Amino acid sequence: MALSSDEIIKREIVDKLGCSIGNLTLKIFPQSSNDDQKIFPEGLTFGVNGVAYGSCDACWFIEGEQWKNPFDNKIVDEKPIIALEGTDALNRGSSGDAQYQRFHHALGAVKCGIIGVYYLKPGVHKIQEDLYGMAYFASKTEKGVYLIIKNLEELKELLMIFNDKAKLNKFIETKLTEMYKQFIEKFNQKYKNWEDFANKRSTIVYKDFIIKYSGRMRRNFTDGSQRAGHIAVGEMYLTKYFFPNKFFYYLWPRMTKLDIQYLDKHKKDDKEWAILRAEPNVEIITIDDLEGVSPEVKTKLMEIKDKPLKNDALRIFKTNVKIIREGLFNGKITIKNK
Amino acid sequence: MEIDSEKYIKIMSKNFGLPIVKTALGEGVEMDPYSSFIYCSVTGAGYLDDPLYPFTPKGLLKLFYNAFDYKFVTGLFDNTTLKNTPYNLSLAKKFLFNSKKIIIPVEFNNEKELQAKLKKFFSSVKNPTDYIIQRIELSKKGNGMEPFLEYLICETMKRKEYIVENQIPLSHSTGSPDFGGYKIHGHCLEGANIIELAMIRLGIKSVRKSKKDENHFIVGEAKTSTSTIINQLDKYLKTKLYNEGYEISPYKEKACKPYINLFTLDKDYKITIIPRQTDDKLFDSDKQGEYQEWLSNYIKYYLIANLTNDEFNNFYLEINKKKISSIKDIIQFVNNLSYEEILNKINGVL
Repeated sequence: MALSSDEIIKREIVDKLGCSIGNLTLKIFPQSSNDDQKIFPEGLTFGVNGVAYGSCDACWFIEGEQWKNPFDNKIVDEKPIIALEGTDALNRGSSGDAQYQRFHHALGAVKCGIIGVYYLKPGVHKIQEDLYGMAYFASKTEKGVYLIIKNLEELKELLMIFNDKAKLNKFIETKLTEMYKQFIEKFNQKYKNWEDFANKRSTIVYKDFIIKYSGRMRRNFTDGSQRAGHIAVGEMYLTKYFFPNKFFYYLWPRMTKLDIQYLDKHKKDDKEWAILRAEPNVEIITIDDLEGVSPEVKTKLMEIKDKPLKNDALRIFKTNVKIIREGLFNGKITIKNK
Repeated sequence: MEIDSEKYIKIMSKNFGLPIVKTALGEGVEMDPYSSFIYCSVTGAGYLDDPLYPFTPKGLLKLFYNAFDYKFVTGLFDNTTLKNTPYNLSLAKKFLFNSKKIIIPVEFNNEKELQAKLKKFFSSVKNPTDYIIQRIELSKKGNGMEPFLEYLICETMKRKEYIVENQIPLSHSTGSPDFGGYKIHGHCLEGANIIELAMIRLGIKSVRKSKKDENHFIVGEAKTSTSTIINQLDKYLKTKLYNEGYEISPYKEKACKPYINLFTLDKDYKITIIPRQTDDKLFDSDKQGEYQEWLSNYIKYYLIANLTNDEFNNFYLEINKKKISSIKDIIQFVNNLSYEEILNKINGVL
């Protein structure tokens, strides 16, 4: 991929941090290598219970120390400590969504109980404050810690103090507090409260669960150039971690049960699809999973099921989703078997 | 044809006359340091400064995100600063241009195996940075040698007076062709890899001025395996920017379509070009004109990269009577410079 920023980021890591710090050894592969997609310790991908998350760019580990890998419960002789995913997205026109799209790469490490770091090299755009919130709440929810950094000096400090538990805990606590502050200040500027957030972000909040609706269509996932898997995974984690105590129904009203079955069959080796289908406390639902939707609404949505969401298709989508949203609010529409 | 170590040596020695050298890691070919830098920039081969992560300039010298646009990506520039220029890299990594290099093709099945080989070799030689490792990744289709094919066509077309580059930043929707070559209408430069334009200060002599009567742009897509190339090539040709398209396949004798040229290797591993069978006009003059305008500016940034930051800032100050304050300032300044002005400036600092 010509425009990948891999080499810029990896070269910066090697030049600034070297190949080892104290008892921590760096694992990193050249840009052309596919080994990063293998599960640690052969590769740089982490996962839990057979679900692999995106590959990372680098990992610091302790050689000769045993570790039980939560991906397959095998004992290995390399203990990972910090896994890093880096991007130059802030220099590449990524002012928004693209920043979330790689969030799950370091999340695999966090779910494994180690420190996941998402490094966004400073550029012309700023880091979206939501990203700090996602990482903060992920740290509070998952076994490990998720840190967002924009300066490799911070990472160097973390690697240097790693063996001093008191200093390490203080570093993490301070960093998480800073991240939360970045998030909540912006949140308070943009939204009155979580209800207001939900209204503006296609989300309906119930006592025990939430529904987040989105215009995803089957073709988004089958056309490789659309990166829908990455986008949907980013959106899923944004919603999931902002409402960590609620079950999350991810509603795709332009899709049917058959579409999901098709994707389950044809995308079973797709990492992002596997994450979407296996994420605890998250369920993808379609128009077929809703009770009380009028045939007219369903017909209209099916008419635009394969169309890009713009112009007329977007107007039809918005009109009919508004009807569904109102139905869900007033109880006339419900989730089947819920 | 899968290009392995043995075939690699034959291709390099037969086509470029490079001497074959025996090493503990296998046979290699000897190359001068400037050509070696270009080689590594195109193929991603790495200098053996570190067996864990050999240094490669590939991916470090990028400029713009897209064609027809002037949005920097980190590479030659980092925001308003000249960063990964060949000159800056030469200062940070003295080994790059201090001696002849030996490029060794190394076959491996996984990174662990390669690293073990490299560590052993690294500790057994006196000057590890005199060696460049060409990865032959046996686990990949075509042994992962597509970038090597890009190098072969770049070198071939450079000798045919094109300005060449690989992995060209066309657009997000169209993708990034593996190879592009440009003969640009009017007073321009010719016969160089675009990276060489940034290496004049280091002693590269091959950059020549030229005057062409018309544009002639070519595009190519490389595949070392049998997978289809035509969809991608057609996508690039549909832009109507290019006069000709090249299928770059080492194993084929006939191009996939009659309107496509074939860049291949014969039974003796010699580079062979089989011309297209039709002479369909594939480009649109207006579209090509717009591309020419952008390309003419694009080239200037590589020339500017011969300067240090201080020299560049002073150059800007001399002409604009103020300091650079944004990327926009740089774009406006460089686009308005002529080649002559930039080349004179470079000569002035040599």
